Amino acid sequence: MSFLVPQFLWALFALIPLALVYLIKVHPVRKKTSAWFLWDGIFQERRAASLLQKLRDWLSLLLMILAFIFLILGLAQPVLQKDKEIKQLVLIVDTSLSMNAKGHLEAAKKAARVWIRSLPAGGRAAIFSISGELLSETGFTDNRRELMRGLDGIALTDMPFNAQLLNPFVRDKAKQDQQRIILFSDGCFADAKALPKGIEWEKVGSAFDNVGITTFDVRRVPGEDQPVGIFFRLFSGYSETTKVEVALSQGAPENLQRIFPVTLAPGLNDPIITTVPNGATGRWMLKLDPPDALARDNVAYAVVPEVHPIRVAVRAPKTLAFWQNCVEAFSEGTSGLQLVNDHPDLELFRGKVPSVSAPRVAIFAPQGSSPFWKKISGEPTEASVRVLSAEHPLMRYANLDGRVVGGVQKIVPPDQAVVLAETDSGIPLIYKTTQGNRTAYVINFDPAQNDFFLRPLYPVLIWSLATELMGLEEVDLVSTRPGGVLNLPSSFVEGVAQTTNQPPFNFSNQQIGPLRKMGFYTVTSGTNRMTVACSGAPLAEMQLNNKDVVASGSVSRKMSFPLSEIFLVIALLILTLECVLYHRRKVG
Amino acid sequence: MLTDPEFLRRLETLFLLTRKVLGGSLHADRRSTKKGSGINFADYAEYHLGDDYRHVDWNIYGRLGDLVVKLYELEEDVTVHLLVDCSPSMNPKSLFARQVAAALGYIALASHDCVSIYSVSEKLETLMRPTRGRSNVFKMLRTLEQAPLQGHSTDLLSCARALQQQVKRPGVCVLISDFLVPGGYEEAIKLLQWSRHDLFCIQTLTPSEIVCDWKGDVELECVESGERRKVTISSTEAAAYEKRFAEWNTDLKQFCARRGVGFIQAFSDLPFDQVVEVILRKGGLVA
Repeated sequence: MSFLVPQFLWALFALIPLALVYLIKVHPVRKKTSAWFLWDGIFQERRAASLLQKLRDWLSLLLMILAFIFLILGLAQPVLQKDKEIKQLVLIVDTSLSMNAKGHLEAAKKAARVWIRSLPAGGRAAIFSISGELLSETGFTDNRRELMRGLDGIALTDMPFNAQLLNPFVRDKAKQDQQRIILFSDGCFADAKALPKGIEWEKVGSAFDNVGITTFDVRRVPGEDQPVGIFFRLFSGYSETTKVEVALSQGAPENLQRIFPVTLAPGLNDPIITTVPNGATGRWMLKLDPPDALARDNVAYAVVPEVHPIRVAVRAPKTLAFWQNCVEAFSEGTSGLQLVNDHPDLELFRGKVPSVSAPRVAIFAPQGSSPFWKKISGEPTEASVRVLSAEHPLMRYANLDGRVVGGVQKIVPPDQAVVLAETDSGIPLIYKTTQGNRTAYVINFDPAQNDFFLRPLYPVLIWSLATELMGLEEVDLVSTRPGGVLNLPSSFVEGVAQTTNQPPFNFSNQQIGPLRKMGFYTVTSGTNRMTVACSGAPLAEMQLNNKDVVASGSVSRKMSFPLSEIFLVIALLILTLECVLYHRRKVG
Repeated sequence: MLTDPEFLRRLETLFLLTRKVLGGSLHADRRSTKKGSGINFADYAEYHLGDDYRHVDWNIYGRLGDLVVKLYELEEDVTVHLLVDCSPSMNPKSLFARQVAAALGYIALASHDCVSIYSVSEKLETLMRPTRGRSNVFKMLRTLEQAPLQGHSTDLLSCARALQQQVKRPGVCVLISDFLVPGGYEEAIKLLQWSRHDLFCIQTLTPSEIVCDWKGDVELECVESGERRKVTISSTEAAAYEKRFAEWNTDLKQFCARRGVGFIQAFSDLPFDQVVEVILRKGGLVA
């Protein structure tokens, strides 16, 4: 037996004053009687009890001393050490979405507390939480209070459980013999049997039937009445069909758009797809009724982004109709093109380029002199395109490799130009260059030749270079699942993200995430502001019926047996006995 | 206080009540079995030389020729001996006992009887020698008031013996005590009866003596001897005490009844005049 807080044993010295106080403690109340001889007769008959009477004070003192000793021993937290070799304990608490179910996290914390209390003397432990990421709540310490504080500080996330994160714990075989790794989880995660060996899993939490939204998306779809397409999919953990209502709202929860009465079959149900005419941009929310054990998967969030078309001006008077058709072909969608004359974001030129233009330009069949090239010479000829960088955003969708184009001239690009395609003889065909505050794509062929205007590649090339020049080529997602990372537009390099159920946090590198909680996030960077959504629950996390899930390598033994509670109970019992005796002494 | 005006007023009221209860005048009205020179005819007796021939019934002599004299009841005063228990055991109820004694003494003095007061404890002490007349009321009250509680025990028998030696003439003897005497009271009562006293016993108690409300650890102390003992009184002990106390009192009452001794049990929480009224109504003590 060892003591976790041996300092309390010093309190045993308090027994001396306790005994002294007890010995000189209050005398019984003196009562005068005129019928002494009657009392004398009574107590003469009870002479046997008088021996106990005389010893009773000592018995009482003995009981008080025993109670005090057990109390001190209880406070000193003695433990019976069973496993002397293992000195280190890693306690990992599952904080994934399924642990949001009623009582699951509390059960996990309660189980972990038992382990902390049974930590042997000199033993150390560390607390981790795991969901889509592994977080250290405390370092290795023998301070139980710190461990308890770490345990109390564990917060739930909406991220799915990622068992792969446990691998580093079992990588070091030498450490495995000296430490035990205990996972406290409800087992509601994909492939519970795939937990790394060496992880002992203590199953916590009750089984529940659960209904939830596994997928929800809202997108703008083509149509004259500006419709949005709604897509969602529900899961039912019930063994029978269940009727639920799904409420679709826009902007605020009370702004209901649709209510879908749905009869759910057990398991994953077919997706429900519908459209809502005149769908507004911004926040969309789907809510499931009635509430159940896991509330987090009953609400889903989606965002329809604002439409910001790229304003494109065409400066090609002779072939204007082709250019207009090309631009209008991409007039719809998030990064659509809009044909304008004034204040364009992008100007498309055929031939010469004026010295003053929009900051972004694309020059087809360049002619004359310009800062965007050093020299143009020779007669226009036909040539085959050789793509140098196929993964470049400009080339990704417009595969020009091997195409024959006309109007190719010998051109010398500026020194810093990035050539994306060239002829077999090395004449640059497409390159990107920046001069001052202007960025330009120079396309060294004439789309009017070789029927290039008529090819589908032509509008795709225009859209690709427009989105690339605007920096929009990578940003097409405004929502992600819990644990996901969202790439933000280039105007959101760093800033602050806010949501309703967690404190604001900073982001940087044009990325936000991993997002731990489902909900809407308002992302602010300088004067720019946008909303993104985090939503969607994995099936494994929604399947709360964990009755049949068997904990592999389930915990069957403790490191030590805590005696403090037992000692405290014994002290309490002794004090109760003494109270009974005291009561008898006081009231007979 | 026994000499304060309020107490005196109550005594006067009590005396008037006594007259109403008993009826008639109380002046020298204690009849005796002795024949003497009273006014009430009692019997005839043969004339002997020296008899007062004024008492010769000449009508008898005329009819029968025998000389007989008329005998009359002797109307004599009586001495009321008030034996007040002044042992320490009377401490809580001593005032009550003195009040009762004072009331009885007042009635006796007002009735032209002779009153003497004795203190009863380890030994008998004379507090007031036989005194007659209403003018001695204050003396009697002061005597009772100043009588100290003394001794370490109550020895009724020795006190009875002492009284027997001191008082040769029988009278009315009122013993006011709690009768909680370890040595017993029987012999003392018998002795007083053998001295031809009209004996009346008044047992004064406090209500707390009858019921034991002490529970738990108690250090008992005898009020007379000062002896102490640490005991634990549970409901069993309390019940045993109450039973023994009741038995003790019952025995006393039955003993008095058997011996023809007047007995009354009075509790100190009752007004003393109410107790005296009961005594008077029961008779046997006054008139």
